[in-house]
Amino acid sequence: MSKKIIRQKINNAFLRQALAAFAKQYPAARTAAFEGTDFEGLRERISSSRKAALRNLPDLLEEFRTNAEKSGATVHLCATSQDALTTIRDIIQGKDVDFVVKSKSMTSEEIHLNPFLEKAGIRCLETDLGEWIIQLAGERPSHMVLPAIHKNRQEVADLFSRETGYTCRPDIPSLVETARTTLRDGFLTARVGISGANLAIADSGTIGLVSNEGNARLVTTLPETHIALIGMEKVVPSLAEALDIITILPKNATGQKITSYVSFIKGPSPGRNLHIVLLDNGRRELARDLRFSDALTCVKCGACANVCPIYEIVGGHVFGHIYVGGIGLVLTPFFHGNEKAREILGLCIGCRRCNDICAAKIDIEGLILDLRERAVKLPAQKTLIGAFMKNRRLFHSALRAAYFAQKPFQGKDGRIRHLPLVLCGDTAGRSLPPIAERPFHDQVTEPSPPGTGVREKILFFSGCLADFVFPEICRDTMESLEMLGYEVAFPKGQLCCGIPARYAGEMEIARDMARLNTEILSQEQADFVVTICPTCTVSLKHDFPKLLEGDPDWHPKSLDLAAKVFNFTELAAGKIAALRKPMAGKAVSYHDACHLKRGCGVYREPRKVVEGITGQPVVEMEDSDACCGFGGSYAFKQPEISREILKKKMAAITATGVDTVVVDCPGCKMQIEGGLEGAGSPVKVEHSASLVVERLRAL
Amino acid sequence: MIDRFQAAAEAAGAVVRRFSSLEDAVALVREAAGPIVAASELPETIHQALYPVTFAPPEEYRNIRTCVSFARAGIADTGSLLLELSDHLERSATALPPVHLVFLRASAIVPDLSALSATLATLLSSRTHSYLSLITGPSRTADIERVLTIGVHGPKELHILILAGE
Repeated sequence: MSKKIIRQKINNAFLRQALAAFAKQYPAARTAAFEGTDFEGLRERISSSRKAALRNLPDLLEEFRTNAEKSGATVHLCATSQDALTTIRDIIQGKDVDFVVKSKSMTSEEIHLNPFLEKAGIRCLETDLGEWIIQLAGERPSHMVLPAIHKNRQEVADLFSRETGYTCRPDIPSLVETARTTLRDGFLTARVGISGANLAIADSGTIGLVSNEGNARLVTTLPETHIALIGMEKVVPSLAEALDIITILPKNATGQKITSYVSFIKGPSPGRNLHIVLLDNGRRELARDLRFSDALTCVKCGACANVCPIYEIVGGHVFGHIYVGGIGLVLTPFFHGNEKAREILGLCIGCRRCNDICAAKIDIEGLILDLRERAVKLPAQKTLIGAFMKNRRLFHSALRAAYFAQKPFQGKDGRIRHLPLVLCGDTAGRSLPPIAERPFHDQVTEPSPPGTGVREKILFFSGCLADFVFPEICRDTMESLEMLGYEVAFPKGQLCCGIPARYAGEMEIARDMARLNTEILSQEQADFVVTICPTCTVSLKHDFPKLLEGDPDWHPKSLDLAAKVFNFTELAAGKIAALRKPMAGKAVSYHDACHLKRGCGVYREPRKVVEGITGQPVVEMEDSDACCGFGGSYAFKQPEISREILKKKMAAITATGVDTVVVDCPGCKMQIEGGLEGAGSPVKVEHSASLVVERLRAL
Repeated sequence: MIDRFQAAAEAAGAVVRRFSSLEDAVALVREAAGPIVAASELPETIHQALYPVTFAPPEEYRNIRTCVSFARAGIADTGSLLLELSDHLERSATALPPVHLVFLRASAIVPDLSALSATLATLLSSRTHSYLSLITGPSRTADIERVLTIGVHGPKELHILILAGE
């Protein structure tokens, strides 16, 4: 995706305001809509029923076809977009008409139905208000449920004035009335109506449609011929599975308990025609794909876009292709090819908000990461990353070279304002800490002492960023854990956790790193392995066993290791509570790192640590678990997007009025601290280990 | 349960009234609807009680202000109505006019969507055509600047007349 287009979106004041307002209003509306509904239970059920349906797809399609045809519908199974396009064209031309009305269908966008029909001399009138607006503007939807969210009322008024020949005022109710009266004629005169569908129910041959405006009911009622275009993955066995989807979809999409209209259509009315076009376009193959088939369990609610910090900044014309949001990134390579996907797969920052909200419980972020391996990998990248990461000395000397090279760029306080070498890119408005003169690894001289057997033993896994940039946090971690009663050792052979390789799509290298680190961390007997970087925690605890699955030697060892891996706060929380000492200190705020909260489910423990050590409740900021915009190399690959996300975080921190914000991730510290300093804010950013050691020393 | 239904339907923008007798409800319809209505799926008793209201032929539906129809069930949780509209002419009667009046028997209100699943499954199991609509509040859109606006392509007003004794 070109930087120029990204910049245009960032500078589009209306788009930014519209998406930010939606992002702000959506969570509360959604929560209210889910009141009394067990979201986790519901999406668990949907996830397993959707997966089962995909495994059984050929049989379900056959069952659906048989039952739909029994009730009088004609079913067309179309292998490719081209098949679907010509099938639909032929049905329309068979009726001898050159005009059709349409209700919203993302599948028709996928196959570019309108331009195809126009070329064949058939005019398509979009009747969903948002779709009509973007049809008049000659654009594509920027959201699956709110297609014209990027258009303001003035733009809509201009489009409507041009279309109707009357002067339309930028007044929303009157614009809506204009749409009603202008489109009414189309409904009444069209002899063919085209709709999408949200569901196809196999055991009765019924299709299901949800809508709010009432246009779908008109499109499927007034014209004598109804063509429904449906992606074949939408087939479900029975009404029970359909009702689950109908229950979750509007709540997740727009925070509505239910849409104004839910229609179940089985067969045509007497004397009329119903054609159901079931589109494959790669779906059968994807359904059989062991790694990526989950992508097809999507119910198209669009919630992954609603909560995405990147979508909030750049919108769906950048963050997606035809299908937008997190799942759009995943579906694009399968429906539209790797070329389109390559441009957009790098836009995900990996915060996992989409995973938390997905109606079908899809691991969207994980699929994006794995797709990078499949679709994005550049051949030259592999050797370079591999050579650096597996060989600590080489990695180390490159960073040492960076340390010396950065010298001329450092300000008086030692912070870098113009980044050299590895961390090059646009960092304007953010100062970044320099690479340390002596990484933590080089400061640890004594070999770890043999365990006394009295205290529980911890192996400390520092992670690269803390090692090279924040060695003081590493010292604080070891010291505080010792003060809390543990015996702590730092295995000097430890390597990078491998996440950068995984993010770059280099799975083989990530697998090697998993094996090497498992070996190194298994050499010494210990009760726990403690990390201070949540991304390392996720890597050691969750990714290693996945990467080494099927390896008879290393998989069991990686599971043993995973069971011992904890984030610093998980161990510190209990011990601090057990100190039973009165603590007094200034209240602080807390920022939840994405991978700690959503990757490890850890968010209570850090608060216990902070409250235990300060004796004060945490001053919560708005959206404490919203991403800070760091995302590893993301901050350097997409500096402008990263900075916009950071601005929101900084505003939330400033609004709390605290003078310290505590974090549990060196990346978040680097990002937020840099942002606050760049903005001249006096607020300090401290890692929880530093806070703990400071307060314990003072006791 | 009727209270819960009413609260949810009102939250979705419907107007809800309760009547102890069919006569009272019908009197209101006669008054509110004008001399001619588009009618859909009306049970014979309601149909007759509406006299002297005149029922428009389908080709007139586009010019008629009010549709009068009958719901098979109501859902308390969401304030939704279930209408069985397999005849496309009757269906267009509920889709074109700006005002939609729906009779609902209080005894037909169920707690939630799942409680309706057996009814829906039965209606969909027939070998013939069927078209079921769950209707919740009036037609709406938020497609321009996400501002909720009532009455795009479907009815702008949805009135639910609950027949309490039935």
